[in-house]
Amino acid sequence: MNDDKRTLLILFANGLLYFVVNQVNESLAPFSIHISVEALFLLFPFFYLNTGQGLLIVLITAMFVDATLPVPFGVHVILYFGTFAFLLKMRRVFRRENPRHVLLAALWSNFFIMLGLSFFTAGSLQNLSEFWFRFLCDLAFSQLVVLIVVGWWVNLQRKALLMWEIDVGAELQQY
Amino acid sequence: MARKIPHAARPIVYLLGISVAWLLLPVVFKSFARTGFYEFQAPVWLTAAGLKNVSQSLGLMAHSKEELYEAGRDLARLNSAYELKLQEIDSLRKELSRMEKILVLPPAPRFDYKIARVVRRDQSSWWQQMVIQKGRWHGIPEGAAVVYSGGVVGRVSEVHTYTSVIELVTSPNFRMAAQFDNDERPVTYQGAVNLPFTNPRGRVMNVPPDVVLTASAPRRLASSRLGGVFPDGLTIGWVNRLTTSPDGLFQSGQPRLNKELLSLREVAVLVPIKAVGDR
Amino acid sequence: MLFEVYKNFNPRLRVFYLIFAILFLVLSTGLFYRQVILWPTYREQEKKQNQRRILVPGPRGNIYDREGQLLVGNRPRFSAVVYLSELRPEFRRKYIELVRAARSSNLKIDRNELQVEARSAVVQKYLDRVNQILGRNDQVDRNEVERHFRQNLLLPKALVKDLELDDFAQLIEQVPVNSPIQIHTESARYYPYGSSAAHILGFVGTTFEVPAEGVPGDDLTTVTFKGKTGRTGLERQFDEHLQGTSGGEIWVVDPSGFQYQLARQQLPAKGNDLSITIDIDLQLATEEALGENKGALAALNVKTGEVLALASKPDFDLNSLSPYIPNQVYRSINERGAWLNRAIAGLYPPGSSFKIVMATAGLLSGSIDLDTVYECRGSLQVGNRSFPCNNHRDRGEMSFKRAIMKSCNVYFQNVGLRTGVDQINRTARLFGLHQPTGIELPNETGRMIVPNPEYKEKRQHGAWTAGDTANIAIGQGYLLVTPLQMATFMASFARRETRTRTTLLYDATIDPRRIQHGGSKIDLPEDLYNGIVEGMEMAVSGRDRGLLTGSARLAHIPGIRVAGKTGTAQTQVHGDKLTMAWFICFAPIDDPQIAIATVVESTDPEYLYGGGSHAAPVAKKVLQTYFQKNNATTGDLATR
Repeated sequence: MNDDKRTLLILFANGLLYFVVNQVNESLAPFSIHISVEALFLLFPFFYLNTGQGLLIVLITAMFVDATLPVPFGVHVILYFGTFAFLLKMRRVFRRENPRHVLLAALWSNFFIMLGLSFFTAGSLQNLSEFWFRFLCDLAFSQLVVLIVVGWWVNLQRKALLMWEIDVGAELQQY
Repeated sequence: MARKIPHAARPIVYLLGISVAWLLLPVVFKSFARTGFYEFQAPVWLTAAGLKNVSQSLGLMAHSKEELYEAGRDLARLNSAYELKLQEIDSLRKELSRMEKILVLPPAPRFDYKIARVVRRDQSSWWQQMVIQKGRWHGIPEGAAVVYSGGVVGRVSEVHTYTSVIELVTSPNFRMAAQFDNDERPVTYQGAVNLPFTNPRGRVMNVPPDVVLTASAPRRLASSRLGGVFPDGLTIGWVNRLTTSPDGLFQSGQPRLNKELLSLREVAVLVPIKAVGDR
Repeated sequence: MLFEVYKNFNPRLRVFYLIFAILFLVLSTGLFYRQVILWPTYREQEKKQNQRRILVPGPRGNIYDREGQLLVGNRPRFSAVVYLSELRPEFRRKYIELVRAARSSNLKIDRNELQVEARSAVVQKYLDRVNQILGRNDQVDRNEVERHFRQNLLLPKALVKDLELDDFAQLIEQVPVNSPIQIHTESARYYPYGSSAAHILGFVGTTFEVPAEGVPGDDLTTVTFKGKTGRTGLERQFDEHLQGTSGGEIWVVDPSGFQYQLARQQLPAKGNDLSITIDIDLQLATEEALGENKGALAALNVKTGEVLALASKPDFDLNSLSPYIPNQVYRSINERGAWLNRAIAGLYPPGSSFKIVMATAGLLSGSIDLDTVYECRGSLQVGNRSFPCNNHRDRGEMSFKRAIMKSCNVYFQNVGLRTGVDQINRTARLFGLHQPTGIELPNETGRMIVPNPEYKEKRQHGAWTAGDTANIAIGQGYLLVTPLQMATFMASFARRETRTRTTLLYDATIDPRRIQHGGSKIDLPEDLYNGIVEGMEMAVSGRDRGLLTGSARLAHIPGIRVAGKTGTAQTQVHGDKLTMAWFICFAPIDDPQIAIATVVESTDPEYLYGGGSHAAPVAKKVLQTYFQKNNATTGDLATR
């Protein structure tokens, strides 16, 4: 029962984040800047949920994101899973108690997703220096945002779970 | 008894397993899932757009009565000016029809304008698109031209039940036939990567070598009806420099597009009259 | 207790160790040789196997007239194409589909046939998309697809060639950017003035011999887009100059020959431009003046020898020969005899226009002077031949200048007989009428004839007679020249020189005074030279009782002093006696600027042409255009 609630709540949080980031991007569009903080979708499932739950949330979130974008359906599924698999592999290294670890995981994941997306979607644009310049600018702004919000974001989700009286990470498997 | 997968290998096994499963998943399922997820979140975007409208209305309520009277008066003047223009257009249309009959020309394509609000935009280095508040249910066809008061906005790339996705004129995947003012020869316009804090730009190619323009006398690049999607004369951008290719066959340049394109709130979809009739 | 002791080293094993060591050494050496020494060779071989080069010819240079007007340029030629290598996955899918269908229908599976079928079907699918956009109904030629697949896999396969601009626009707009359907652009020659100066400019043909200098990958298997090579006219003469610099692409291909990675690219570049001396306005006026007649006209700048106009009729529209010559067009041009550039390759007897050479010869030799008078009774009996003089109605004594004015045959035949064939021949050769002008055009004929007794004997036409001399004196007989030669003669004569270096290459920086035309001054005293010029002026503007009565009066232009001479030659064409109307002139007399020679052929033996009636008006129009354009009057002329 707790599992369902947790899954729903994290999915809702991811949806909310997706919506908010979109609104921010809408405001930034006149400046040709785009923020991408997709790593934040994966952080809580990685640090606080068990693998099965995490994978389910990642899958649903990825399809949710994929559905509205002009990419082959599944690109985000593969990208998110790739990133998530790497995080799982590093579970012994990244400790949720250590804010620096959380930050590092977030920054790394975000970089990986953005880079992966560029390779998946850019096609012939990859040969243009302008594309990579724009990418680097977007990346810099995105990482800055991740840097600022990651602690708050993870805590927010944790607090939300606690508010619903759901045990945070009680069933987390220790590797 | 089956052997358990070692902990260390699990993530990779998960990744591979899921990737393979995803690739093997029938297209029908993916298509259904995509449509489902899209339509599931569409109301959220529509609601958000609606909320924005409400907030704008509330913002307007903060204006004083005098300001509103003034705005109303300005609007009334604008309306009467447009009224005049409409009559002018009407007579021009009649004249056009008459000429077409005399010269036995096929009728120029006519369009029905569907005004739609922008509910969402995705303008990144990867894609340049936006979602509008009208879709299949409103008779928006795929591939239709999308315009605003300043010129070309883009083309409808996907149509959903209540929303449509517009590929923006700034997108590198957007291409159209264009022409310079006073020159009917078609050239190719294609979107380009937009750099931060600059006006959006595109690329114009296949420009005949005898087209002359200078930084002090830039020329307007407009849509060409020859492409079959857009009517003539809608502004795409302004070109102030052209470079000749090494083979001397063409020139190319980078039109500056209107910055408004990045923050449009409302656009018009040009639905060919025939397509409306077909519905 | 005895222990069996095993020695670590058995001497008998030495030989095995040795053999092993040698073998190991051989193997190691071989490995080293293969991996290190032969590495560059293998790498080169691998490169050759894995890489292909595509040669892309550069567009040719433009040709401009003396004022920078474009005469020959390049126009883009758009085609809708697909690259078969990009369709490979679709070929495979389609093939599997066909195999399944064949299996389910229990049909015999011919794998090769099904592969061909699959490729054809996939290409047709894309052609259908193009058809749908353009409202066409084209079908793929299966054999052509297969031939392209086998022979030109690296090159794009054209779905629709030569797209009209609106078709191009529709495809640009309606085919997605990432579609396998692409718009391929080649250059085709473009002639803004159509048939104007067609014979000078010439046309190009296609060739697979594309210059590859400077394009990397000499040693790679190379495929080539068709290039262009000049076939006639300036396109041929300056082929190397105009030829573009080829570009190239080096592709990495897979074992099946499909390209998948562009390893290197060098863009083609346009060839050098060429500026020629033609004035397109004058050329257009010339061609308009010649109208539907057969004939030619050459107009030269007297001072520089630059060719201002060089027209030959009938002509042909150069655009109809680009990008290739359709059979029907070729046949039509052939039937009209329009391939021949009559200005440089048309041989005509000069008729009475030769009388200027005669007059010069007579005066040079001293056999006559300006006061020499002969009586004209309408004909001259030479030996057993009677030569009529129908050029004028005056009978009685004829003076030198009046003889030029009226183009009196009897007078000049007498001059000829008195001067002798050798002197006539020497004078004609002095002006270079026996050899080509050397203009920078291919196909200038070298078969012009300035006859002498040896010439006649050599051709076994018998001994030279006085009648032959009388005949040559009026520009008939064996004498044959081209219009350009006569224009060159006229330009030389206008400068009082014997030769003119004719050229089509425009050089704005050249100083006319420094041009070496290669001849000498005409060795005639001023008064004698002026006498000839006055006679020529009288032919154009001479009056009797207030009326223009010269043979070339139809070339008279008020305010411009023109020195001219008409000619009407008779020649046998396919058994018919046809007349050739000539007019040669220069103007203005005070400061000669332009020299013209024109010939108009009659095509009907019943209808006689005359130099005064048919050729002089043509030259007049050209002169008018020239002087109108240069805002020149006799006293106010452009210097070039």
